[in-house]
Amino acid sequence: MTVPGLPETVELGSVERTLAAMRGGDGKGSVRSTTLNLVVYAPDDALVQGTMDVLAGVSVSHPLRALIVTPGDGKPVAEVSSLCRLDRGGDVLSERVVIKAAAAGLPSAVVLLLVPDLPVFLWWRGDVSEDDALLRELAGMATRLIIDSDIVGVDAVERVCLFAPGLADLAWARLQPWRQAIAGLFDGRTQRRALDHLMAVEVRGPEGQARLLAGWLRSRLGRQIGLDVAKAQRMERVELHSGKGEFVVERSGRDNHGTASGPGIEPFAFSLGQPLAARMLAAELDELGGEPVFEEALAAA
Amino acid sequence: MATTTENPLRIGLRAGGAREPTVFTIFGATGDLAQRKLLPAIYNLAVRGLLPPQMRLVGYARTDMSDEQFHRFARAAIESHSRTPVDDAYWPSFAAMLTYHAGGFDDDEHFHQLATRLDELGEQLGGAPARVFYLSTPASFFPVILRGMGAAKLNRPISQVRVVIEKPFGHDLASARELAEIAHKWFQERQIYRIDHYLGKETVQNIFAFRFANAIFEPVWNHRYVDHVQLTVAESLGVEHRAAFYEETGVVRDIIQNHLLQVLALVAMEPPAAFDAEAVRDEKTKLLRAVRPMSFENSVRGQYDRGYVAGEEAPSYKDEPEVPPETTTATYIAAKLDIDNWRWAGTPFYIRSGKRLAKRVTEVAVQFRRVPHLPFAQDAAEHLEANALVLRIQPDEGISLRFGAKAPTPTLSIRSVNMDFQYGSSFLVDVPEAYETLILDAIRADGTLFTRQDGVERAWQICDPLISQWQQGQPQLYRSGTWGPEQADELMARDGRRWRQP
Repeated sequence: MTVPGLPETVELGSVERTLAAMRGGDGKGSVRSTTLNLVVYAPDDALVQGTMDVLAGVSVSHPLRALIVTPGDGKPVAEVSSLCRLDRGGDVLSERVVIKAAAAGLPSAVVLLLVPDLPVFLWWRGDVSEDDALLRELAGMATRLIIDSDIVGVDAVERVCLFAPGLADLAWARLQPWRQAIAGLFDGRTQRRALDHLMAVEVRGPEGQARLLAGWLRSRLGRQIGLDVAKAQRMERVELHSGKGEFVVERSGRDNHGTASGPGIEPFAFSLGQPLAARMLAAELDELGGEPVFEEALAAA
Repeated sequence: MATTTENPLRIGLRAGGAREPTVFTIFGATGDLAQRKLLPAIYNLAVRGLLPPQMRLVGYARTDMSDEQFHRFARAAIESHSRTPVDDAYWPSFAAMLTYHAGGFDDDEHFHQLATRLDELGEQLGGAPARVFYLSTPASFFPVILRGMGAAKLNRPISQVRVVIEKPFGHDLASARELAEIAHKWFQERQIYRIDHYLGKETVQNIFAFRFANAIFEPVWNHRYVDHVQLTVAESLGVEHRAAFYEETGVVRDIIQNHLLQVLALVAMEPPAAFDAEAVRDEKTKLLRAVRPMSFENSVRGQYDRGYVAGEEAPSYKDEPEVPPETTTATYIAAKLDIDNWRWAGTPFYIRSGKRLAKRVTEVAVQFRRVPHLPFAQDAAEHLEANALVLRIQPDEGISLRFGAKAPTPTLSIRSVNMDFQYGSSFLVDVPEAYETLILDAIRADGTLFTRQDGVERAWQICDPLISQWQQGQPQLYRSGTWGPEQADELMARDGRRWRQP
């Protein structure tokens, strides 16, 4: 059961006191467990609301302080709320603060409200430009920058990959079950040899994900692999052309499942998981720092 | 020869699952353990994508059954006992992995037939998969199954075959050695995975993390700072329907020889050089070698009498179904254990375990020494207890630290306060069942959380003298719903200590 606290709008200087009062409200005293700070840049009201919805899902597994920053006019204000999950023997408490202030003032508000000594994740939901001072400044505070190349494009992600010590791409996260299944095709001794003869990959899916997938294969195998893309809204099929035969991974008729097949192996099913934003984001919050395999795939995409 | 570890596409994939093509065989696949624990655990691993993509599960039992019947049997077991509901969309893929092979345990021909079947399945998986055999049968069948496997060469190749054995690993030192001798006739020790499901619990593994990932506790984790340690494994339930089993075992064989000594080893062992199977088990065994065998003088045995547990009337042990009226089986033990090594000499470890106690709780309480001098007036700190660190293993997994703080009064008054950390408040995620963790480890050939023969034998050496001495006399009766017989309090009182209230 998730219990949202009623939001209160306060001045920035009163945020900590308000959150402490919300914690004490359950009569359990003043001990709090928090594992991370999540700063979210949401440039409009729709994205702020969408972020709140995603956070409701993320808070189930991650007690965190979320600072949702959005540019606005006038005096800086904060809308403070808490979210408590009370089932399964636990009572995970997450704190949410929506900060509205002039764009130039947002980093100072974030610095004020970060929980000390905990990792800082920045989920950037705006447009991406390498000249964006706010992005640079917020990313400079973060241990990990989370972005979505399905929205901003692979090239934009490539341009900002040095902004933070770690870079995460939600589109790359969506590829995880596909990469897992493809890797599973080559675990056997015979099939492993076929990898040495892999020449090209055909993808039916979003162009950005197709590029990342090809970049992954190129960087892992250390050579050029051809890419042919048939654009689709979501990943549907990957066909790997090897001199030893064709290996296919495709979405099956059943929702959220796929099948993988290739020469000399029994076809196997795999789960594509629920492509929920909350689940994707939560998985990225479990990782700290950089992901060399992704960075190499991005460079080769 | 190329191996799976050379698959370059595996590098950097986050899922911590197994990947080597595997044929997993359950002997006793229609039994209680398979239904309640193994099949649900394997299903939960499968739906989370943690099993190898190329895997087959072979159910082996005496009952005649087709593959389709086994699929229905497995589905019913999973529906009844899995923490994850069956996903209708995924089920056909999972069921396709299951196959059934009927056979007995005392006929070599049946094992040869099984070998042929496994070879066929291996071919389907691309040849030479790993083979994991799980002996989910009564222990009395272990020797004959191991022998049958050996006769059919199901123990080869050594690097690809693992056999998982459920406790009990014997019922005393001699029988444990006898079982090991049979097993070692056909299998190398590194192929044998002795499962103690307690070690698969997340919170037991957290003892590793707490001790060896935090620098602040290690300097005080020794006899200079620790006055004593209390280990409690308390159950509120009685013997239930397991009277026949329990009459043969009693509390020492059921809990102390395995679960409790394993937890004690984790709490007291030296830091291993690495978190791998041999390094961890070397240190655990080294610690157990330093534990003095239990003695009659330093122990109390009890048997539950009628009483009330959580407001419900509870019968005495003797009134439980199938318990003989003349029984002297102990359902409770309290004992003092000494560890003869540099770290712990002079710091006793008090253990207690029993059925029908006040509540279900497993915890380790590390009681620190008092400060050498209190610079406060006597009445300022008269309520101050020594520091205590409590590792709660179940339920309400977490850690409590008791320390002194000034009470907000005009005069100086020091009181004890508890700082409480609950895992559930920091990591509210789906915690895997112990069997999921251990089955996955067996498939991945990681023996870290399994017990090794030298550790098993040493645990029996610690327990056997007491079991032998307890053949005589009667256990002390204790009221159901209490913390055990009064003599357990006296055991502590004679050392000037008392049990904590969990």
